[in-house]
Amino acid sequence: MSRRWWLGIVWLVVLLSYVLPYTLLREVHAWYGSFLLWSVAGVLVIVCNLFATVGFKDDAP
Amino acid sequence: MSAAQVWATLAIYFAIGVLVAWLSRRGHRADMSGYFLGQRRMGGLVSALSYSATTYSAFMMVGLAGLTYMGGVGALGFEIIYFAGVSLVAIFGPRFWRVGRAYDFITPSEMLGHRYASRGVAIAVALSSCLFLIPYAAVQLAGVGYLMEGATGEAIPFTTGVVLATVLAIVFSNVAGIRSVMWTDSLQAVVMIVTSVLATAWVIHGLGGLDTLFGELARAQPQALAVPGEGFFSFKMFLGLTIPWFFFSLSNPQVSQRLYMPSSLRALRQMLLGFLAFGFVYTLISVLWGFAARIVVPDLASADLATPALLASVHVPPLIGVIVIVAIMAAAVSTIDSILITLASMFSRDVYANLHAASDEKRQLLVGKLVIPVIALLALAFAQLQLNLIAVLSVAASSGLVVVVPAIVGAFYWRRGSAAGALASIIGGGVFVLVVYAMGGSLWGIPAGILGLPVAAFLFLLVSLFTRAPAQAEAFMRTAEAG
Repeated sequence: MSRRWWLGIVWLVVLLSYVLPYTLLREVHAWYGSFLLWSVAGVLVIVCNLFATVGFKDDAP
Repeated sequence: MSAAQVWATLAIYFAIGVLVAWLSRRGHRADMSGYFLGQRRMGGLVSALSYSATTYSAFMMVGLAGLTYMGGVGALGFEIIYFAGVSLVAIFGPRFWRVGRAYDFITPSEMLGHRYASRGVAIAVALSSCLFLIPYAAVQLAGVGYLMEGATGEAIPFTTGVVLATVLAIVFSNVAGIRSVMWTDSLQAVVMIVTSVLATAWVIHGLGGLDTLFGELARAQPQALAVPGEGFFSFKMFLGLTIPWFFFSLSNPQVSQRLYMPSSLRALRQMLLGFLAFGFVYTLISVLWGFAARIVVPDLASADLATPALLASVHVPPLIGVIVIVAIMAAAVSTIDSILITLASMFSRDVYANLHAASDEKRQLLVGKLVIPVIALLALAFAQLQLNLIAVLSVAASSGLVVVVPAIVGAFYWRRGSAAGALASIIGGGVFVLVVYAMGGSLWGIPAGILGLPVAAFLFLLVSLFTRAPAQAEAFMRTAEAG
């Protein structure tokens, strides 16, 4: 998959990080609510960047 | 904890820091590229650690923990959205890196000045960076002063803490320029992460583990685990905080300048991924620290007291408390010295050199070196004075710096972007943000943090459409794309 695709997932994760905590998880008062969602979002951002930058060699991205 | 314990730990930190700074002189070359960019030969690991230490300041274990104390889990969301924004490095990093090498750019403002064929653009970006970042550095210094004073029961006065941090920042940036900054940053990053993990694990273990921590929060303070929760993190507030910070990796020159320094794109990748790993752990730790403070020291008058109060509690052994204080000081110093070196390079390269066309590199370097202590002393004076204006400027820093983003994006992606458009967005957007902050921080109920970027983008587009783009835009964009 291309760099654009992986970064697209990052932007989707960002969008969901805005929407879900203020809607679906608004009344979930436990660690498995917004805390878990944002923690998983952080991991996904790392994974997406890992793949998005695979082509960063010495000459060209 | 006693002042003697803090002094002894500080002395060890100071001695090791100076030694590392001194050792970093090996291979140092005394020209602009050598002093400010490490000859563009920095390795991936040092770049990653230094980028982390520069980005993460005293804000994390004091401010973010305080934000968690005050507003609950929304603080994690705020920081994770900032964190996701660093992915912009995957898009813009290689472009900065390529044009930096091709045109020998030292500063991001010099790059914009070239792309828009305008000295005015370079000068405007450099001056607006000084305007917002010096107060930001001052607040970091003040943070160290308050922390030292609070945690030692005023045995180490505010001024002593502030002066100490200033001296360290000047020493670390002056020994070998960016090389000594990056090597001491790396040391400080390790200290920051190891001690904060250790201290937080100790406190949470003492409370009965993560299960107990979250169980107690869900029982006694359930609103802390959701947004808007107790009300602080309204959606509008959340947007106002996160939008400017999302663009931090582009808008803040002390980090965007780092994109010129890695020895290769592979090293740039290591810098990005290393930072993300560091940042994720440090973010979670700072938020958990804030949650622990909610349980251990509830009902404090101010959220700023959360970390000092937790450090002074029975849950933190004095030795760990002392080390955490030094680590927080390290976090502040590693941010301030990077700001010093970046602002000095911008002043000498973009302001001084543009106003003195005959100045050679040697002269510019001398000016840069002389400016470092001047900026540091300005920040020190601001920290001491505690003027209201400084507080406004530091709060406005992220919103004020973000107005440069349309000109950066346009530089790489929009041929028609013109110098007049860039100037209008940077000056017009900056003035707009300052006016809104002076009026209380919002306009028609919308925070300045939300408004600044669209206003700057609108000005950039509108003015560019009616003015002529420079001929060299094409070549610049081709160079940025060329792989």
